[in-house]
Amino acid sequence: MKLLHKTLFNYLLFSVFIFLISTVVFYFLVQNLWENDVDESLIYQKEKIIEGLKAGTFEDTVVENFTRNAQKLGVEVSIVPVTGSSPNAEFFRNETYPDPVRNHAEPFREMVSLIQVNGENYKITVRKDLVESADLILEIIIAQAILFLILLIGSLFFNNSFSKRIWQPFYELVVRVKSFRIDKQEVLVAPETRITEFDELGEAIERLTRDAIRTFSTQKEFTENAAHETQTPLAVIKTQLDLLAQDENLTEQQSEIITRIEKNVRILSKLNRNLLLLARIENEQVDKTGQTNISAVVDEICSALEEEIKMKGLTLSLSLLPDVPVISNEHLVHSLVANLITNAIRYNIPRGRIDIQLSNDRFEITNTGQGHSLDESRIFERFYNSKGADGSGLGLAIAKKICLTLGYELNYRFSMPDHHTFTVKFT
Amino acid sequence: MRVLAVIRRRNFRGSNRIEYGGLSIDIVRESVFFQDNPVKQLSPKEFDLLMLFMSAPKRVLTKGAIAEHLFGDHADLFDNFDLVYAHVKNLKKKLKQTGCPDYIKTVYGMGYKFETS
Repeated sequence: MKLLHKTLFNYLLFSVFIFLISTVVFYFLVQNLWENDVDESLIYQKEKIIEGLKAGTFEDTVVENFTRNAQKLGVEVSIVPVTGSSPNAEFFRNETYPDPVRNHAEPFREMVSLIQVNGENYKITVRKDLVESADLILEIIIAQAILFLILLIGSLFFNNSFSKRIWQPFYELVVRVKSFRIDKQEVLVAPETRITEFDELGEAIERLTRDAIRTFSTQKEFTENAAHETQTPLAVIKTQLDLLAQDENLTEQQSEIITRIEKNVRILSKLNRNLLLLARIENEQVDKTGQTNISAVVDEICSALEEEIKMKGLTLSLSLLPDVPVISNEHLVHSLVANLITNAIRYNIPRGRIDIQLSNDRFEITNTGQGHSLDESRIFERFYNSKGADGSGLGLAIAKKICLTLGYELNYRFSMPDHHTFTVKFT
Repeated sequence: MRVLAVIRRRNFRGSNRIEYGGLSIDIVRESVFFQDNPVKQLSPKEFDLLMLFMSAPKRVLTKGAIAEHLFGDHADLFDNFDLVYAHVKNLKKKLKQTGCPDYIKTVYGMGYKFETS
């Protein structure tokens, strides 16, 4: 969930809660006010009646007039003389009475008072119909609800666009951090904001990337220097071993030792060359503007490896489009193709197959091998290889790096029962 | 390899032929004779191999050095020297067919040495 949505959602929840509560409270408040108002008018009516009674003008015609007048105001009055009841009691109540016209019960507010006027006891009942008031309350509530909704939507909208503007530099920063690549050697520049927190965050990230880049290039330099500096001693060891091998008096055991040393020196030099190549590619010290005929490269490597393939009992099927040109680096393309083909030979099974296809937009090599897929996420890592393999563990890492540098796409897929396919897309 | 190149240059000395123990190579025509009998059907790799041996007689040539000579930059592509072994074996067989004594000696597992007797 996005940050903006999260805050908006919480805001909305709170608003709806307040809206519901306030509507209920408001309803009761308005009703209460209204009832007080009605009660006051009932009391006023009662006082008028008492006045009339006191003045002794309490006659049927007067009552009739009074009642008629009162009815115009929505008030019904009844005055009944009573005996033996205690005077000066007064209470209000809500009642419903059937409405003869509308044919159903209607709510009324009723005041019943027992009074004594001129020594006579009367029970005066005054009631007022609440239909209109209920309608009025409903209308008030609706109006209030609409107002509140407008306020809510308005503030949501305002809040949304406002937050968007405020958070905009933050999202910009996220985009820049996402596109940051340490091997590009470009320090990340945080966007200008006028918000302290964002500025601090941006500054921290800038510092972090600057440090990371410095560490990265130091480490890269180290790899390159180390690889470079080991070349000479390795060459010396090689020539000295060659000299030692000329000794007439070598025993078999000593010869075996020399063979073993020589083998490992060779592995070491190969590793060394590959590390240097990797470092050079990473430093982008490659010219990528040369014209390379990939068909010729593939052809050359295949014929160099022909005997090796034959000796291992593998079947090679080549389907090459002739003269596929790419603007690229011949050395790197050579290294890429050689790595993929030797890989296909190295991890093949006895009497297996290798299929190589080259078209205008892709180079694809499929080999038979173990019956399960390789770990796609890790095969292109350095020194990730199956145990006991003869490779240096750099082949696919180099292939991947070369593809990255040349802008190609290198993909791996497995298909049943045992076909491993590597595809290079020249895009 | 540099040592071998020097030896080769010194041995050729402007001549187009290398001779050793009755074997002779005509570098220009790429043909090999043992006491006037032609050694037939040598593959290009076998020819290269024989040149290497004859230009550096009595020297122990490790399999690695041989591989580098035969395959150049591609030597890196191979995981082992089975291929060197195969080529040496074939060369020996073809030399033997022309009656040439077995000059190519195996030096333990280390490599090969080309010498008479």
